[in-house]
Amino acid sequence: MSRRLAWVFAIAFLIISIMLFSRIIGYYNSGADGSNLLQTQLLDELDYYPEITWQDNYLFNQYQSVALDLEGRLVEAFFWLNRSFELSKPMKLQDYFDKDQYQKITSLLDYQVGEFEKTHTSFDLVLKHVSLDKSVAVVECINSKTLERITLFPEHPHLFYNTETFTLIMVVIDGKWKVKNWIAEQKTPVTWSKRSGSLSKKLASLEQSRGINYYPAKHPWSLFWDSINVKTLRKDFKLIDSLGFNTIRIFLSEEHFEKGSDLQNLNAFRLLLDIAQETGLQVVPTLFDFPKGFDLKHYTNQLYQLRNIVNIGKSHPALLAWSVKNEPDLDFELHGQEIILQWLKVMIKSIRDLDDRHPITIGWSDRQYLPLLADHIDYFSFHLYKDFSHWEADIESIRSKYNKLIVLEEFGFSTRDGFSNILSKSEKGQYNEINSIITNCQNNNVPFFLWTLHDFEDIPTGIFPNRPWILAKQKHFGLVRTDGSLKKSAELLLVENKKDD
Amino acid sequence: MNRLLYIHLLLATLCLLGCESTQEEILRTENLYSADSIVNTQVGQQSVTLSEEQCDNYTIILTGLHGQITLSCEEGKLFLPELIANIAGSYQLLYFDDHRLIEQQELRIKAGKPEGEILTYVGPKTTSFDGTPGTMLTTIITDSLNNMVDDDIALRYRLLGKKGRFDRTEIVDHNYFTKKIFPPYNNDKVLVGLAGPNLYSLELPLEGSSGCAKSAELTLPLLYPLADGRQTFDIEVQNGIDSEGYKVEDGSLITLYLYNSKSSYKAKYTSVFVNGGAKFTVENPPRADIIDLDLYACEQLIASKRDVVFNTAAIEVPHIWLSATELQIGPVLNTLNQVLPNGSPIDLSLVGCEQATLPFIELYDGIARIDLNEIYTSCDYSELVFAINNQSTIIKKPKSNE
Repeated sequence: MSRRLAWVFAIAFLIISIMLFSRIIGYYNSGADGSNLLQTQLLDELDYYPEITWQDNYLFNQYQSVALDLEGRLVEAFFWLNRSFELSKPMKLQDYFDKDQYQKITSLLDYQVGEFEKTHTSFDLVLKHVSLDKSVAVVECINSKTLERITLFPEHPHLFYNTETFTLIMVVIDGKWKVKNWIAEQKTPVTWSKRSGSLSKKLASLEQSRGINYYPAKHPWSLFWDSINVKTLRKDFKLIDSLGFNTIRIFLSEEHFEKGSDLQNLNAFRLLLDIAQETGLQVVPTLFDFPKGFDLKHYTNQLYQLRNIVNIGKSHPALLAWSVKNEPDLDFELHGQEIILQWLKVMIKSIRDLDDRHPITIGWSDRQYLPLLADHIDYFSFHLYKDFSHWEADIESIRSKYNKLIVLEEFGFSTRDGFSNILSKSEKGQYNEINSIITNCQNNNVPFFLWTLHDFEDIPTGIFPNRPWILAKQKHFGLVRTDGSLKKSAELLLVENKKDD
Repeated sequence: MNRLLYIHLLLATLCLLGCESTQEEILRTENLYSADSIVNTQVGQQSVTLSEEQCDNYTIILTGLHGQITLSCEEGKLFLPELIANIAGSYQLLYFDDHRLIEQQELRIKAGKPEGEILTYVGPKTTSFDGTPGTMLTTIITDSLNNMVDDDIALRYRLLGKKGRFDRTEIVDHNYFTKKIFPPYNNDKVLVGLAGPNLYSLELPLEGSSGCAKSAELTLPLLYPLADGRQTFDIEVQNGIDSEGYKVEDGSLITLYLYNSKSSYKAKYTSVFVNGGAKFTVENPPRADIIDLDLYACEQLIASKRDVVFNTAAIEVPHIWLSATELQIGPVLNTLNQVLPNGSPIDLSLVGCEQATLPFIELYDGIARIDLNEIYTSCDYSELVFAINNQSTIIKKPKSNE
């Protein structure tokens, strides 16, 4: 029996080997470049959306189709150029650069040291010339924003945010626009802009915030934006208002706002702000929930969604502030602290460039990280689920050093704590804990946001470790049970709020 | 104290005092740029001079449009690999002390002297560039290493055409390419060549940007006005293109001639192209006629219309008294059964009441209504005369019981 099985395996192995070998031979006989296998995969993941503007001039108006052709080729040329230097090997360069330029670039690739990542996040183009037969064009690119990460030593990446001005001569070779000649004219570091607009009104509102983190009962986390329901939002926001909260914190997941999936969700975001305004609530959106990553290759898509979201929010009366990222310190271990800080700096600057009127914060999971990027944010935010001792003293020390508002952006207590209900906090216990934190916040002038309104029947996979006891706990932080009834803590908050009225 | 050393010591002092690792991280990501520190050199120079301190103390990385490379530096001389030394442009020098970025500096490598063939490209003609009509010629001048040159260059333009020779030397501010716009030459073909010190170009045919249309389309209104010699109508010209198929330059002159076969009627109108089109507002002929239209640009016939029929006045002008004082005229049709255009005037006069001030009356949808109430109370008339397109109709005053 085992002999027969061995024969079967041997024959199967032989057949598979022959098939593989013939495919490889066939592939190379076709004359294709072996590296194309990899390049095809990379093209599929070409997730590149720089901001492109053309200066309005006579040539651009007259030759828009030429300009658009040039734009496509030029943008791809720079994508592949940057990718080539990142990977230290030519990637599709022959398709975009003429022979002389190709040779220069490929020779330079041999000199590369360390790790290198680069992306052009914007192109401001001027069409300077188009030849009679539309085969030659001169394009100037003014102050293209570029991000360049140089890592000579692991753990010590350096990010350079520059503007580059360069002139390109593009010619049609074999039916395609290619870069015939180019010259880098200027490279200037971008200044990390300081805010010029006044924030006093918004910060004053923030100081008065009694907030709550919000997901609807049946559609938390990644299910939220696919299932926006006006009735549910209205009902929940009214309940939030009646419980004495005046602000909500929401989460905009990258998956739902990236290029290609954004339009419907942008409308939903606007709708949510409208309903919040109707109810008298203010909104703090947290951006980039569950981002794809922090490599430079993701930046253009992230900046694209940022532009869309901020341009809607910045003029809406219900918007109170922007929280750039939820608990970025939890990404330190996987991606590296420096990489995360660099990403945060770029995103904060980009929000501020678009919206100078709303404060920006980072929601640190651990308050020890509050001083990070203190010069870049407008107010501090931290979360409190552990280390309850001395938190008031810790933040007082930060406040005295930086003189900035500090917000408790998340805290909460589950009514299902641990393996069984025996170890869980009672609903009354939950209220006592919440009340204690709120009292401390009020005594220390710390605005707060409670986690969260609802208990959840289901939590989408991938949010928390898939352990029954962890999931059980996470499902029961709400003030409202899954059947819609109010927990003790909600009832007491309701009574208190009526008393205050 | 030297600034570099100062920064270096400052950082060291900060850390000795117990700088938190997190703050140190932040410092490292900042761009420590020295705007005034630019290192200039020429293409082909394989070393540049730095201070010995810069040279000895730091790892120097060069970045530009093309990736990053480490440079070696000894005794105040920074060595550039031949490949970099031969590519003009703006680079950055990054000074690292171990993993810490100490300073950034710009390195500018200026292109060499212009040399060799001037690349010349003829732009679209009969178009207007920055408001100046003409043909655009773009030249790209490089050094011997194919670097685009940004210099003031004395360029000699030589044009040879039917009208003789044009030879002029101009100092051009190059800015990587030079743009020159040649004036219209009435479709004259000339050869253009450029030259400069150590520079030459191939001679390229340059067709004068005359703004001359080669063809266009004439459109007349569907309803012809009557031939009364008074009213006007519009003739539109569209799709004016030159011999290369380009839209005709704005402001190019065109002329429209209207004439009949007996040469008893001739009219001439001029207009200019705007966005490839033009409009002529034309008076209609004084009497019924068959008219030909010819459109000329640069003395060339570019479009025509034959046998356009203009009819005389309406053959019948109906009228009806709506009351003893209110008269309706029309609907007034011409011989082609077309309603006369809105605004066609009606001349009105009252026999026996010549001093009266009469209202100005026009046709609307071929109809006009006149209320004579006020007129005849102040003046008693016997007959009423109205005329459209010189065709008069006389009607008697209605009897009071009509």
